[in-house]
Amino acid sequence: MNKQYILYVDDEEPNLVAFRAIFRREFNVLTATSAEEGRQKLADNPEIKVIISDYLMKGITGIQFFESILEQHPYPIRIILTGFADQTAMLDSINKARVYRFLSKPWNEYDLRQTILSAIELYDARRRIAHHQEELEHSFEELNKFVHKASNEMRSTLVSMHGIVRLAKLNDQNKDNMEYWPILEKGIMQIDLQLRNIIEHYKADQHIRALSKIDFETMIEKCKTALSPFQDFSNIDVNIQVKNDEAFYNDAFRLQLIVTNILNYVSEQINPEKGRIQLDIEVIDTKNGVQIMFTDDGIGIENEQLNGLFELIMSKGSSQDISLYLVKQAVENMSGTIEVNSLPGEGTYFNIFVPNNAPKIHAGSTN
Amino acid sequence: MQVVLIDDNEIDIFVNQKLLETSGLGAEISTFSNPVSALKDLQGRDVDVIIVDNQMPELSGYDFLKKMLEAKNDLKSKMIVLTATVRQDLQDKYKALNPSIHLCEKPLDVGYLSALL
Repeated sequence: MNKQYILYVDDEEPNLVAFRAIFRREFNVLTATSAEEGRQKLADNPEIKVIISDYLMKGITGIQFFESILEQHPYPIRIILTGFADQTAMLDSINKARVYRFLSKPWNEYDLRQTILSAIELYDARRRIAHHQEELEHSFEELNKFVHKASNEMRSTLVSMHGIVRLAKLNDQNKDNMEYWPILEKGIMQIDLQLRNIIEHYKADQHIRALSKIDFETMIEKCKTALSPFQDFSNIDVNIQVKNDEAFYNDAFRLQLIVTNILNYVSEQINPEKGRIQLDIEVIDTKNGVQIMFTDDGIGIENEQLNGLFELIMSKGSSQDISLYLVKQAVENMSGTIEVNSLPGEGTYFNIFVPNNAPKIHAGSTN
Repeated sequence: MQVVLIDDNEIDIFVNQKLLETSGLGAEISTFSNPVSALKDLQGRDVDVIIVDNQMPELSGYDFLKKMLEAKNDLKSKMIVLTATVRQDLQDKYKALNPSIHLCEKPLDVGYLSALL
């Protein structure tokens, strides 16, 4: 295995000589007698994984030296050698200069070796994680793009098909067929809605959260309007109660996604015995945010289905599952929570908490 | 009434042409799957309605109408843009080009169209 590069900075030449003598067989030891020379060695040798610095040097401390290289060389692991007993004063500097360990001077060969070895391990592990993360982010981005593009293409074909069905509905002279076209059209519109959802969702993931002030009543009405081409609201009695006095800021886009998808879900829950469904939407201020509650008197959800309700599982041909999956994703993206309770035959209750991200303008003043 | 339909998607042209024909608007329809040839054709004549798809590979609906408006500063044709989703940003973009441009979701809604005309 290749010898790892380490750098030792100390303004006392004899220390460097001793260090080299002990460690040169195990490591590629680079040394510098000043911060200036240390920086030069770092610039010339990007392979350096560990930097050891004396604390007290002429005109500069090891901490100051580390701080000076933080921006250009963030990755090497830093170790300070110090003769001072009072190390607590230096603890403050750990975060500032990102010091991994303090070792006392004169150093103990065994301790120093173990510290260098674990520092190299830490360095390697961090680089591996960073590399994996980059890869992961990259493939996620690719996936996002792919899903977005594929969904758009599927939608464009679907919209063409919708056009043909609409045309057939106008022109078809056959009575029997007139029963088929509306069913086909409803199916197409369902798929279309799901595709729109996917497109919105993947768009939502890409763009940075834009905060704006939310007027819940207007927002909920907007969602109803957006959904009206796809869902017949004539059998749904929506009752909206907003008791939100605090100026509420969050991602309007995601909130709409949540409300639209819950409305869509609820509109499919109509109890055939009643033929109608009552949906109460209540918004109330709570500590640090709002609670949005949806209560319906629909068919309800069986207990065993409740657990996987927000999972991305296509069970029993239910096309609704993705709606609630998107709801959960959006809620979690906003650092909120969602709860569901249901009694089969009685109805379902969703309770969503979303934090308020109102800008704190006069945080320090009481006026 | 003369109507020009421009869309790179042949199915959409077929559907929209049929929809217009059965609408009872009495439209005389010419269709183009290539916006560049439509642009050439429209240099020489005036039509009542231009219906153009937003997303086309050769020339987007936006660029098409921009070129039309540049070429004829007294353009009197009604301009309708078809798109899969009418978005606010898209709406704003077209309104900035010319306030009289209408956006319409696909498939074409003949009721909406006749109300517009």
